[in-house]
Amino acid sequence: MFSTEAEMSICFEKYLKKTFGNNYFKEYSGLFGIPDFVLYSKQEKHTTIVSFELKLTNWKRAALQAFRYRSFSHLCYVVMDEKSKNAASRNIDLFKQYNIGLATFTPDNGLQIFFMPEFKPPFSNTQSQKILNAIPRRGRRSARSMKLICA
Amino acid sequence: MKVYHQLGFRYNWNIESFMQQVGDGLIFSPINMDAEVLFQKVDALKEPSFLDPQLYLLNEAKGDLDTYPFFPGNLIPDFETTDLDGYSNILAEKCINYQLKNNFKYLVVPTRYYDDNPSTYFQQCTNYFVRPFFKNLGDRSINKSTLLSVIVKRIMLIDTEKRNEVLNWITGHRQANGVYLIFENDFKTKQIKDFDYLLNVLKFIKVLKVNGLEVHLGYTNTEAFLYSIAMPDSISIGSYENLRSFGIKRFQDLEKGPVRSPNARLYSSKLLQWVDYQYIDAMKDLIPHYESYFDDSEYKPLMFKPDFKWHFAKSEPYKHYFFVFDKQMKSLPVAQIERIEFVRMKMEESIEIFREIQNVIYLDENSDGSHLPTWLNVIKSFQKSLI
Repeated sequence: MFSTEAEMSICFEKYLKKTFGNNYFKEYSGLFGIPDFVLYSKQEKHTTIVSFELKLTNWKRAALQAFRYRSFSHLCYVVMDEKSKNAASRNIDLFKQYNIGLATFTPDNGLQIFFMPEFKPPFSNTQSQKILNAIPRRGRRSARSMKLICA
Repeated sequence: MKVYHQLGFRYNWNIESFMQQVGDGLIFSPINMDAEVLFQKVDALKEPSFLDPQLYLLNEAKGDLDTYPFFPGNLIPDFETTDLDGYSNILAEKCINYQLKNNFKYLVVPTRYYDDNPSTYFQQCTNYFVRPFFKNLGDRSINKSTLLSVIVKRIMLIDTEKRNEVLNWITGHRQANGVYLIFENDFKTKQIKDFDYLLNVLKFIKVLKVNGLEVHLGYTNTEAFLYSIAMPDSISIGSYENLRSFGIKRFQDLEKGPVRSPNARLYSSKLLQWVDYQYIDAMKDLIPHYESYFDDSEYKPLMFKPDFKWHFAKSEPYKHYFFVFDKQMKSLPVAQIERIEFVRMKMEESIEIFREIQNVIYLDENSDGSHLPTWLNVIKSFQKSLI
C-alpha cells in the first residue's frame, strides 16, 4: 500500500520499465487530460497506445479521467492502490460500460487486472497523432509483455 | 423578454452578431472600450443598449475605464471613498452626461462592490450614487428610463434578513424604472447546481416584478433559461466565461501570472449545456446521430469539419451560442404558466438526451446534465410559490 500518489508513481514507473521496456511517456500534457503514463508499442505497421491513470482512492475521478484518454489511446487503465481494490471492483460494471480497464498495483505483484478493455481505435486522430509524433524514431519498437494488458 | 449582449474582451464578436439581428441590445463595458471609441459608435448600436458604468472598485483604473469622464480619478487624483462626500454630485452629473450624450436606452446608476459589504453599504449607495443621480435628473427635468445597478451576493439570497434588506432598498427607490441585476457567482462548477440559491433568485426577481420594476439580468449563463420563468425583462449573453458569471476579478488590475486556458466548449440548446469539444470526438465515434444534439447555425458546418482547430479564443463557438441562445429565449411562451411548462418540458427532454449520451460516454460534471434535476426541482418549488 502506498501513502502518496507520488510514491505509487515511482514504483509503477520502475515496474513499467522492467516489464514493458522504456517505451513510455510520463505525464504527457497537451491532450484531453494528462495521463500518468502513456505506453506505446509498435507491432508491424501499427502502434498501440495504452494510457494509465494511477489513484490511491478516488476510483470515480480516475475513471472519468481515463475515459478522456480514449481520445488518443487504444486502451486505458485505471490503476488503483491495493487498499481501494474493493471499492473500485464493486463498480466494475461502470468500467465495462465505458471500456476502461481496471487494475490494482503493488510493487511485489505488479498489475492485477480486474477488467481488460477491448482494443478500440482512439476517438481523435489528431490527438493520437500528437503522441505518435512525439515517439523518438529509435523508440519505435515493440514493448515487451504487451499480452499482460492487451488481449 | 429581451436578450442583451454583455460586452467585454473581443466585443466585436457581439457587435457583429447583433448586426446580424442576434440579440436586442448591448451592455457596454468601459474597461474594454475607450470612451471616445464608444462615442463614435453608430446610433443603431447605442440606442437599444445601455452602459454599465463599472465603478465597482471606485478608483481602480482597469483597462479603458479611466478614459471616461465620470471615472473618479479624473475628478481628483487618488480619489478615495471619503472624497465621495464632496464629489458625488459632480460624479453623478458626469456619469449622466456621458450616458445622455450617447443616447442609450437607459440611464444606469452606478454601484460599488465590496468583498464584505459594510453595514452602511446601502446607505452609502443611496448617499453617494442614487440620491445625487436622481437629484441631478430632477433638477434638469430629464425624463429617461433609469436602472439601478445592484450586485447581489450569495448571502443576500440565502439569508432572509439580508434578502429583505436589499429588496427593501431597491423597491424604496421609486424614481428608478428598474434594476440592472448582477448575481455574483462564486460557484466552483460551470453550471449552478445549488437549489436554494436558484430558487431564491427566482423569488427575488418575482418580488421586483410584483413591485412594478423592470428587471434586467447581467452576466447570465445557461441558467437564464431557468430564470426566464420568473419573467425578467431581459437576460444577457456573453462570450468568455467571465461575461457569463460575475466575479470582481474582472475589474481588478491584477498582475498577470500564468493562466490556464479553459477548454473550448460548444453550447447545445437541446442539452442546456456547454459540452467540452473533446467529447464531441467520442460522440462522433459512438453515437451515429450525434450531430442532431447540436443546433444548426452558420458556424456549425465549419466547427464540425475534422480540421477545425478548436480553441477557447476562437469566435465561432461563441457566435454560435449567441445565435442559438437568443433563438432559444425568443422561443419562450409569453405567458408565465405556459413558459414554466415549456421550460420544464425542455429540461426533461435534455435529461433524456443525456441518458442516451451517458450510456456510452462518461461525461465530467462540467459537460454532463447533473444540473438539470436540481433545476427541475427548483421549477416545482417555484410553481408552488405562485399558487
